[in-house]
Amino acid sequence: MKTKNKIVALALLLISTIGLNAQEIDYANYIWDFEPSFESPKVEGDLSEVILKNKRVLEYVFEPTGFFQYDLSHQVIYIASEAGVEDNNKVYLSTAGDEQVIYQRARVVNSKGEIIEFDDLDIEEGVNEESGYSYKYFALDGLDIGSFVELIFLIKKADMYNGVRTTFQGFNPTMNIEFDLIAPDGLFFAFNSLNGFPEVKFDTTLDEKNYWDVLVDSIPAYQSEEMSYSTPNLQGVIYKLTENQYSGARDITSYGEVAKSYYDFCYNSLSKKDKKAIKKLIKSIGITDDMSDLEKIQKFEHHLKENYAVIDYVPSEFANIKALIKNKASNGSTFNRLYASALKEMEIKHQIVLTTDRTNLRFDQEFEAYNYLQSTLFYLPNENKYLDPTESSYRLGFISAENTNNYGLFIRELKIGDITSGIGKIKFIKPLASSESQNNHFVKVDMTVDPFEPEIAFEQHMSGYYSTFLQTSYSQLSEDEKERVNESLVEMVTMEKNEAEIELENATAEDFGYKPLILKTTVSSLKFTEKAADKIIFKVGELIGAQSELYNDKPREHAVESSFNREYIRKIEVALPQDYDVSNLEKLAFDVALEDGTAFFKSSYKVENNVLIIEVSEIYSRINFSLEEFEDYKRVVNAAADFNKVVIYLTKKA
Amino acid sequence: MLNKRLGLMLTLFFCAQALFAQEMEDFNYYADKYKGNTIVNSLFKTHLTISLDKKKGIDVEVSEEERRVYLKDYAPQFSKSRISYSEHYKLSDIDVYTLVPKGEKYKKEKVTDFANKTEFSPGIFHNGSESMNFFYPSLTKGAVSVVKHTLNLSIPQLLSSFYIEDYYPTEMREVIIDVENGVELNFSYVNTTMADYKPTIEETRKGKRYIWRIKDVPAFEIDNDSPDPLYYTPHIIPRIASYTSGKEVVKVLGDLKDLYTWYYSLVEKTDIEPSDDLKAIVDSLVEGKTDELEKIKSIYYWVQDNVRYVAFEEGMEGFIPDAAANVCDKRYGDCKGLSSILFTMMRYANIEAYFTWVGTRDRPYKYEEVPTPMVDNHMILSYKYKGEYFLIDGTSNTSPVTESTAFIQGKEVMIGIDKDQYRIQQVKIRPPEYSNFNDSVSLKILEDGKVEGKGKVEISGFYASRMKSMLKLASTKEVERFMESYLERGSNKFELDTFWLSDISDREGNFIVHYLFNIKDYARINGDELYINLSVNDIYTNENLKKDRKTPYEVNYKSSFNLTVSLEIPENYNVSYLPEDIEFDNELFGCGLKVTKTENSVVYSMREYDNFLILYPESFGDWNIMIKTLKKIYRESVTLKKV
Repeated sequence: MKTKNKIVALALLLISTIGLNAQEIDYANYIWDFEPSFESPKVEGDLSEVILKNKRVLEYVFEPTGFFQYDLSHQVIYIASEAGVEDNNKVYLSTAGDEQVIYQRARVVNSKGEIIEFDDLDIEEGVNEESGYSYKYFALDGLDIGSFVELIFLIKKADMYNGVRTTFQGFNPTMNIEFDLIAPDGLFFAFNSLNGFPEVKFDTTLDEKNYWDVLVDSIPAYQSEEMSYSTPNLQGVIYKLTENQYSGARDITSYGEVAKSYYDFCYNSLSKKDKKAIKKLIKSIGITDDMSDLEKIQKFEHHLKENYAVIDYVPSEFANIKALIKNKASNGSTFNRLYASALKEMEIKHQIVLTTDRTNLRFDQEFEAYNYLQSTLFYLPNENKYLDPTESSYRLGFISAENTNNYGLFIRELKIGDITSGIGKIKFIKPLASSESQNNHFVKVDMTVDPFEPEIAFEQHMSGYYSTFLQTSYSQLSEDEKERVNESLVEMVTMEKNEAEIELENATAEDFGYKPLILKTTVSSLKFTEKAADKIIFKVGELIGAQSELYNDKPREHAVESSFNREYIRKIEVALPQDYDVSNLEKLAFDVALEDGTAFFKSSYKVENNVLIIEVSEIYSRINFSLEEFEDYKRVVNAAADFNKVVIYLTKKA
Repeated sequence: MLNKRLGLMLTLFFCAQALFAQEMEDFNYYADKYKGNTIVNSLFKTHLTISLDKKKGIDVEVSEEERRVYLKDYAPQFSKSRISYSEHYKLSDIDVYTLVPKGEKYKKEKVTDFANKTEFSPGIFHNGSESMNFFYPSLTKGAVSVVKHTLNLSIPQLLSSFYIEDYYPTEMREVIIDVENGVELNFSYVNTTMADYKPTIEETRKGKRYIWRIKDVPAFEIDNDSPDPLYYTPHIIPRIASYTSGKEVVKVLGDLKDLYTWYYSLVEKTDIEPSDDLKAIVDSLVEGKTDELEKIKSIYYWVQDNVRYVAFEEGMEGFIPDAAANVCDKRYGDCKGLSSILFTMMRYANIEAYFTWVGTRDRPYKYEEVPTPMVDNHMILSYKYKGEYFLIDGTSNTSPVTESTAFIQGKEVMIGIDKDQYRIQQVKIRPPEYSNFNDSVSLKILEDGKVEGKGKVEISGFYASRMKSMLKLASTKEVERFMESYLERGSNKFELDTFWLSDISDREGNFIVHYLFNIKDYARINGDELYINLSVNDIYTNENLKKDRKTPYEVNYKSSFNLTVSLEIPENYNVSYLPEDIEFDNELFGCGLKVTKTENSVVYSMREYDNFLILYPESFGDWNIMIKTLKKIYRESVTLKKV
């Protein structure tokens, strides 16, 4: 329970209870000031909270049971609004299985200056025996606007030195940032400061310890913007161990090492039984030697992705290839190994690719650290295609767009005599061309019967990232689910709820990457016509669907980064009623393009045999557009949004 | 005494019997009968045993067995599964395995690895729910998963309902209840009658056995905006009325009186004494106020502003309100804690206040019909003012003092008067006019089809409370962003120039926002004609309800909508066409359009109302006609012609 204004003699308590050698850890007895003296910051504009202090100290120590990291976090948060109260009145602290919370302290100084301290009795615990994580969480009583929340945690961790990112920038301003790393004097660390975060510098060696640190007065709040990702642009630091003078090891966190060990993990760690099981599996799928590499891998991939399941956590007894094949399910890392060995068994030339999700962290070509190696992919050089073994909605040639337009570590086999090993090289993972991901509309409008409620035949062709999910999963839906999906497809295609039937073509995984998914439906609709006396205002532009817009004039702060290259081709044919004159057609012509042609919106029209034919092409064939290019990029995006608003007038002939 | 050897043999014999007696699933039968489905429950069995226990008085145990047949190749996707339990329903006797097809037979593969997990429910900070997670080996097409477990109920009042339907179709639903003599058990049938699902009743050695065996149960239906499935899925709510303990009859939940007695015994444990802090707060709030309602208001609003709602449902805290003094110190509480602080503060200010139980609209039950804790899920507070009982909800931070929340409208509340007396009262359902949206806009056409306008949105009732509650936590920037989209009129070329909000901390007044805006290219110029669509604010453009939908359609509250647009006729123009009036009205909903011309303006008035909380399928046809009528209204443009 809460102990108001009660000051605990924490230092004494800690030394007597935590059972670690207090002399070794600089921060074993760390505590906040007995009398807090926080000053309310000047809150400019509109903030929910201000982080007045963010101190992180990492200390590495050798202990009799192993090598450990002690991670200290000390934060002071000023609560500036109701939303700040909501965001901070619950504190969650999660730790992995081998981690241990040495101490945790929380106190609130409320707006009246009363100090409320929390102790262990206020803390609830939760477990997740699968992930091995446990959670501690508590509600911070008495929090109000104008409060200060002070939190201190010390967590003991193992094995966290091959590349870890710590971010110091958030969506609120942060002040008094301190980052320290302390290690035994024979250990040396390297740092990679991200997005303008100052360099972490070696400070001193004292009492057989090395000290690195950085102090920053303040970091502004990150302003997120549409058409860009926030997380990869936040200020922070990545640290890694590089040298161990005790053992003489240098270049400790390096991709050379990773290439070897990951290669061994994938190919050399298999038991005889595993290898036998893989052979049998390949045979049972019907893969034969006379097939081409492409046929083999596609058959293999389709079979696995339609009959097997990748599961987050499986009991360790099932995390091996033999169990995977028997259970038709296992975790991602076992699937990666299965694909690697199967590719080898099928004698398909391939490389392993390790990379990041660039919407979280961009792969850095210069700084080698293991936290850049999050996703496992395969690259087939003869096909020049990538494969993602664990993503069931992709097939060869398509991987998560977030992994593309990014660098990665490519590991290939190196054979020296009888010994095979892995060797790594950093290469660029090119994004797919815009033509690979199309979302095209072919619309035929018949205004000859009832011009006020015309019949409209919609046909939408989708490929690549637009159709991947539907093409690879539609056949797996139950009848009920198909019915529901069809309803929403009708709504997507016709742009309103309709009880029409929809026809799907090429809705199978085998078609994905080869033939577009085709959706066809015909409805009579009031949605696109407006009436002004006996005139018809036909909202022809709306037939290309709702468009995103950048009408807002606010100054842009971040460059544009999109998910994938894409194309939209539209052909709209309107059979015009005989007894009407049509006007305003000239508004249908657009020609807006970036200078290098990597983004454009173009449209043209003609009338043939009383049929209005409009052709539109909109293409984005680049992922990144710089700040300087933003105005031009915006013009292209807004051209589509403007086209969307174009109407034509039909006036009854006199 | 039974011979040990004989006993062993008997056990073996019964085991063998059990093995052979268990009818094995015939995959072809299921694949054929349930074509198009992914999974079928071949058996879903619940076995409730209620027996007398010398120590505890009564022992309640629920054993469940669920057998599922997997019909598709991607069956392995379902390999991971779990059993949920909680501190009131303790888990034991877990037996989980896969029956893997081997030719004509099945091979049994047992699950041995179980991982416990604390479950977090959205919106509830901590609720004592846990789950046991596991992995079915070899769960391939044609396999059968079997999960058996037992839950031991620690509080007999908390006996839960039996649902007939499941997410998947069920070949055989079996519910067996064994009741020992001396236990009186009652049932409530919901969305079904005793006649539909009549149990067979057998006499057993110790008492009675009720057996329901229902074949071919369809999967339950669920749609967007349907009310809670409890409104339409058939279920049976059992309740233990009483049991004998020696010569004594112990009442549990025989009738509503028993439920109240139990509830009162829990509330009685709450410390209702005000702390010095709380007294000081109340004193300062009511100081100088003589009118009772003013006092009530000051207390309620103080709690709304200063004590936050955090759901916290662990252990008996799920039933016993936290002491007011604690809630005051912590500045947060769950619904009971908030009721508790209101209760103590009001009683200290000499106001007649009462703990009050209510089931939100998720629960379709009435107190007399379902006198078990299933009937409600929420606590509020009542106060008596001028002989009338008013209801207030501590979890709402914007409701006025005379109004409760939309989500208990039409429901019964149970007001706890004292140890023996309670009062059942129905919450009023507010008419459509109560929650009104009124938008008045004046438009002026500038050059190139650009229009400039000013508007005033005024909303009332539940609509206003919801808006205030949403904006209360938003930052200025968030409010701006929200208003940009909320006030967007005409097209997305709409630009909000500026806006002014009424005081959102004023709970009783309407929510008002005045705004100035412009929309580029909004008026359409075609030669000497100009067309302008005055339906600048469309609602329900896409709310068609499917003709064959079986589940009802639910809204948060009855509401009404009015849009008035006045267009200044530009110089040199005359009105050449005005849309005709449109009317569509019935008892449940309706809409209409009226456009008139005055000397130098056109006035467009559009209205719509929903006079229902739940709309049943028989009205869907008419509803869709209204949607079509609205679409017709939205596509009407006014035509102006150059003089």
